[in-house]
Amino acid sequence: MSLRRFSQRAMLSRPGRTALTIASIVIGVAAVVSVSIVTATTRESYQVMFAAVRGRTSLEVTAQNTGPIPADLVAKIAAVEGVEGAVPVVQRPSRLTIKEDKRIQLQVMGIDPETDKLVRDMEVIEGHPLAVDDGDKILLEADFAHNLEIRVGDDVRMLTNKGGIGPKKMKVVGLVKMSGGGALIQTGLVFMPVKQAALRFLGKHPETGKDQITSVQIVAKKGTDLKALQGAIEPLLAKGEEVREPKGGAQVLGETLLSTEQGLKLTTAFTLLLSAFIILNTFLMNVGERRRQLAIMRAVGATRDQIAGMLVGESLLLAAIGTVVGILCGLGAAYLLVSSLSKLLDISLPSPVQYMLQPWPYVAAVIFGFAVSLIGALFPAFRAWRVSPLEGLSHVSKQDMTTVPRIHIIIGLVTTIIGCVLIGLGIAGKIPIDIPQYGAVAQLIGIVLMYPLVLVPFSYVTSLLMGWRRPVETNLALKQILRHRGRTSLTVGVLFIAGATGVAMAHSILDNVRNLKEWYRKALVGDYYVRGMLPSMATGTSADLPEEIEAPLVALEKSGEIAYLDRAKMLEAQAKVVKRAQPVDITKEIPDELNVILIIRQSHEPKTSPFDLISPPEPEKRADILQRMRAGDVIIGNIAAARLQVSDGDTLEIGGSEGNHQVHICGVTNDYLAAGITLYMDWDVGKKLLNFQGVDGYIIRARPDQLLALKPKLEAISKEHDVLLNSQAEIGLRVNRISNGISGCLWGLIALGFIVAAFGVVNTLSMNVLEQTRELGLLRIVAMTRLQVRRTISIQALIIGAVGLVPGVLFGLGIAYIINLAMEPSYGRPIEFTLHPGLMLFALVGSMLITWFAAVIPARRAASVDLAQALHYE
Amino acid sequence: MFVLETRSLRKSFGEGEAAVEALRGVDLGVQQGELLAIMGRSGSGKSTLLTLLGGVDVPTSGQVLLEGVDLATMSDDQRTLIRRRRIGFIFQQFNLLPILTAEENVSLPLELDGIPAAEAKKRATEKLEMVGLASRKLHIPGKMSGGEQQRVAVARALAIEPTFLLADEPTGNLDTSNSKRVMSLLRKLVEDHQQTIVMVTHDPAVSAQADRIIHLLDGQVEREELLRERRSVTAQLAEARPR
Repeated sequence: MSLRRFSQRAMLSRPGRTALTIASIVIGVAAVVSVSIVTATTRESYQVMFAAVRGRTSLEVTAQNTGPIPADLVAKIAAVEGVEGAVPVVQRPSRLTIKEDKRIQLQVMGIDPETDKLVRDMEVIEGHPLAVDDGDKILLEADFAHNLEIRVGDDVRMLTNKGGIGPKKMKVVGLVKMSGGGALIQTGLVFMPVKQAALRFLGKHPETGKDQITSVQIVAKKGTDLKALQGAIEPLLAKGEEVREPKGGAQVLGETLLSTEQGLKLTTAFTLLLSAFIILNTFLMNVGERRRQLAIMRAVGATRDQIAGMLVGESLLLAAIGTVVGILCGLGAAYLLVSSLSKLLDISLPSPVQYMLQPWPYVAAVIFGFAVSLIGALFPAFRAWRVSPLEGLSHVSKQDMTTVPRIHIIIGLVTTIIGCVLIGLGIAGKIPIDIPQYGAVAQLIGIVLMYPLVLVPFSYVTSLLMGWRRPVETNLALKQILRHRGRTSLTVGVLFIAGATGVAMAHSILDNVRNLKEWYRKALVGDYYVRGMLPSMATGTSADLPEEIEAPLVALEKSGEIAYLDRAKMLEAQAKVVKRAQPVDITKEIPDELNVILIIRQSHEPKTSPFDLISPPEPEKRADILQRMRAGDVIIGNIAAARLQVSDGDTLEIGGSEGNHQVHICGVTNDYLAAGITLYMDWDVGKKLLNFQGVDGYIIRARPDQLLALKPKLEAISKEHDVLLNSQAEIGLRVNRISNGISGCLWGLIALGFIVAAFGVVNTLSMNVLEQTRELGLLRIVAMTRLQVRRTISIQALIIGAVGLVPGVLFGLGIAYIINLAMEPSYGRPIEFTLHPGLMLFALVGSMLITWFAAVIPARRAASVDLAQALHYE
Repeated sequence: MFVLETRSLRKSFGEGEAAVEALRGVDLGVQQGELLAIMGRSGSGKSTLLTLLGGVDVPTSGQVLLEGVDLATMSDDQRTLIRRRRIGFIFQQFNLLPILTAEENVSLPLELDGIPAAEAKKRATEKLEMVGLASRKLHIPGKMSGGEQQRVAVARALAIEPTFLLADEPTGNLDTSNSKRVMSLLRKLVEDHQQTIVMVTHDPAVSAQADRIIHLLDGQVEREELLRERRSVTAQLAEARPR
């Protein structure tokens, strides 16, 4: 078909422009694919892990604060009418050390090998199953083990709370596959005999000497009413124990990932927007350049639909190529992102490969790739549809497009208003937090569509400022820019978007990083920290430290080398609101109860409170906050406070070993631990209220003259017990590394946006040079040197750059301010907005340099126009 | 009966005080197998008349009848199909598509009409042979001289077996030698194939090749010149009968 041949050859005759169009689609599709796979990998891997832990459990009996319960409950519960089976479980976070130094966080499941099959389907695919009295033998999930190169028969070391100094050697006796939903997913689960798990993690009850477990998982008989069964089991339980449906268990993970996901989704949205505008611009250029040829085709008998269909066909072809390449790039990016996240956050994330085998990333890629290409090509196809055959008969070669249809301006105005409304509602907390970001996208689209209104005055002002040294070249540059206002507006619009989004994201990154460092400075008051592992991203809890480590640390405290030895413990708890002083916002959903991470800690340091307090506002109340905690009050993390809509002065109820307890909130703190869903309680108060054992971490303050001398002693103790020792400086470096890593990715995306926008400038300038061929030839013949011609093109680039980037950078400031404001309803704290003049200057100068650099090739082409040929150019 | 006829044809551009009447009531008829030249100074309305005859534009009032059917009453798509199937265009600037070969340029209107590529190519080759350029069928316009390009354009116009050809200054961009060659080709089409051709020109040497010349002035027919007696077939047969 001639039209297809024409179309293909026309695309190949402009390889740079075609490549730019494809690149735009590739970037958009890659962003969609990589973000969706990374999100699924992190979320679903933990969801499936929880599903593997839950199995077929109908109900479970636990202590209200995840403390131990007596093991003899199992037999009593199994005898209840309606119970098909009751299995004991010991579930604790822990850490494996593989080979010499590779440490992996995971969940230990102590199970009864004989009865566990009632709850979980496990197939031993290598080695052999566990026996009841197997001792320190473990089963690992097969894909997890293969990923870590662990084989059956290998010895690994596990951090436990009890059983002597140092980590315990465990032998891997088998590899299992979980059936059902967990079959394809590698999970950080270790199975060991429940008796041995109890020995290693719980010990016997200190008073009764009875065996202990962490939960009883109950499978109900078919047709049993669960509520009735719950009622029948409750009389068997002591105070502080409860029977309930299994927990959903991903709240902390959800909050931790929320801000990262939102950042990634916003970046994806802006990338797709950039892609659509670049495609729109290049297709408009194609129509403009081929206008005469399209008119000839109309004259010899091509219908409007055939012409428009040809453009649409081109966009589909480019979409197909861009989508395929974009998918490949997205898969690569997903792999890199997941391994970067794993390293940065010290967690074991499963390989994203299993999610790459599922169809939905590809479906999403195809939809977005084709949609963005078609949307970008729609208006140009309509322009082509309107080409009249008269133009083919006319001696005037090209139609000047100096006017922009009024409908663009109206659509732009409406879109901007919609964007403003969405942002306003978001800031007021009337709509979910992730909606206003689309309002920002709508605003950007609207402003770009309205840009033709301001293009002329902005261009004149810019040219006045630039033209004092080179008035002739500047005047020529200005005339050419304004000759095609539609094309220029779009190019400027793309730069505007790049400038605005770049500055907005950069500001947001800097403000959040500053906030994080401020929190770190206030919250981490120790000189040294001893811990098993970082808190789990999914549960917020941490691996137990061996109890034997207490004695040598206490000895150092008694000898005076340690000034303060503070202990900390992290537990899961449910918090319910009992009383609020302020009315609630009824437009927001408030959970009946919230799973929080209860952080019980000592704070001997008299002068420094380890909290980055948001409230109470009164300095005198903040000064005695530790006293109030010692009296029984709690401090709540900002996210937990926002979710429950509570503040200082309100009252919560939490479960304890003797039943539920009411606690009074004395403050709200900015918190980056456990995604801010935290509750802080004094150690002695916690010991009284809750039945918990062990210590998750030691916060050590050295005597000033012992700061350096203490380190080797602490290192020796840590090495002996195979736990982690970090100085405050090391943690600071780690915090910097994590935040720099995440920031680095976002900076990279910002830079990519500017580079892609710069390619758009190259495109536009090349088109301008092509159109001006005859004029440039005349100018060269009459008077202009090559240098002057190059300058003219460069000045075009600078005017386009200034008209797009200066308002863009300023608008970006506005978006950054709005982003910070919009975070308050959900994050419970404002992120203080700070102007970063250095950043803005860097962004402006850097992006103008990129734009100027983009003019180099078109300027060279313009300067080397063949004078004889140019005069005959049509 | 006329192949092509206009009745009280008018065309205005613009509105109100800025309105310009390019044609002010033009009546003409073109017979089968006639080479009609339209002449006039710049601004006389000849290019406008050409666009109306070709169905590229619609008149403000009046009729353009192609074998009795009024083009002015048709939709854009209908006129497009008429152009595709019944009117061959030859432009001053050749207007070949630069990235298609000669063969592809000639087969373009055929393929647009849904004729299979193989059949379209065959017909294209035949027309290129007719204009003496079969050996250049795989060359792009950029590799051809002006005269060759114009002959390819003629072949493209002929590919659809048109009811008539419309030529807008067909030799305007050619040198004397190529002009003669192209005109000779057009004349041959008229003589040997009874092709009807309407041609706009300002060149007296070119218009001298026509059967009839219509002179336009200020949007109206000023006068008509008959250069070659158009004898009917009956009259020719009557003359040939032995006395």
